[in-house]
Amino acid sequence: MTRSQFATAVMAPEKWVENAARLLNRKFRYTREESVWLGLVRELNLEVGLPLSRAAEVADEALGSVREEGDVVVGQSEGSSAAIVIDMSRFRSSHGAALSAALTLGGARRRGRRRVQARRKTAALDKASRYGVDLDLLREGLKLTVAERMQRADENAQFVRAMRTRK
Amino acid sequence: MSFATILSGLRENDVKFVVVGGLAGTAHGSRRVTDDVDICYETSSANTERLAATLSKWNAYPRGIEPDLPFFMDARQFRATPIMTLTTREGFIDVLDVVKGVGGYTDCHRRSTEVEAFDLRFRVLDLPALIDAKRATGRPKDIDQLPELEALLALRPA
Repeated sequence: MTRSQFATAVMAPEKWVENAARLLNRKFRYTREESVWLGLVRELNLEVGLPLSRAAEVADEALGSVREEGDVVVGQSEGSSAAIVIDMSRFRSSHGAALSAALTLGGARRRGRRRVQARRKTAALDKASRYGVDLDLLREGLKLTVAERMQRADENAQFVRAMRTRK
Repeated sequence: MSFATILSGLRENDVKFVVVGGLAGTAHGSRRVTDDVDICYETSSANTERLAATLSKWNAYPRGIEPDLPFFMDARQFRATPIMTLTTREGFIDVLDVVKGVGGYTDCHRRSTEVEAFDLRFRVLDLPALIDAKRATGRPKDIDQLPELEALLALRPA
């Protein structure tokens, strides 16, 4: 994963990931396992209000627990009168969805100068043509109604899906 | 399994949404092939409940991760992860609470246009907003589509 994908999987801004790495004295390789761990650390830090170092200990305890699903009781006080209950199934569910979005959508835009926007119609058409866009094909497509274009797109998508599932 | 069944399912369940992403581009004349439906949904609890119920009925599951992990498709899930990329029995669907470069549902709705397809009427992001979204995302595949979308904007009758 890239750093921004990793941050998406952790459900945190990139800056938070950077700061957490520094405070926890860890060097992340942006792996999936690390995203599970740091995601749980963030949840415990943000939602339960544990300091980062304590959240890291509790996350280690929770993920090292025999139970990988359902409620996991961690961080018990010395007298066992207080503890933290983590709904691991719910956490895995959220993390899975965040990881999927990170892998599918990618991360945020990179820094750098934005491309100059074509200001005039002819400039936009020239640019597209130079880029390899077939303008005649576009003009032909625009002769169709929206419904016809959508119908065609649906048929193309079904073809793509069929090809993908074909063994 | 088709765009038609996804869109009609959302409409039948009274989900408030705007189509964004590749399918919106198709509506405006893009030739790019897309195989998912991207929507920006209204984030009220009632609408989120309806969307979650619809997706649950379709056995939605995060796309690209191994099967059989715990996954709850309910309104609580939307609070934890408001952006999801899902595979369902009706096809791929990406649900977003905010579209980069455009904003949330209200902004998307304001910058959308109503279209008719698959015997349905629904809203799709308008072309200038779609260009803003693609540019803001900054992913290579979105940047790659900008010349085509800008050409479509230029070809549009004034």
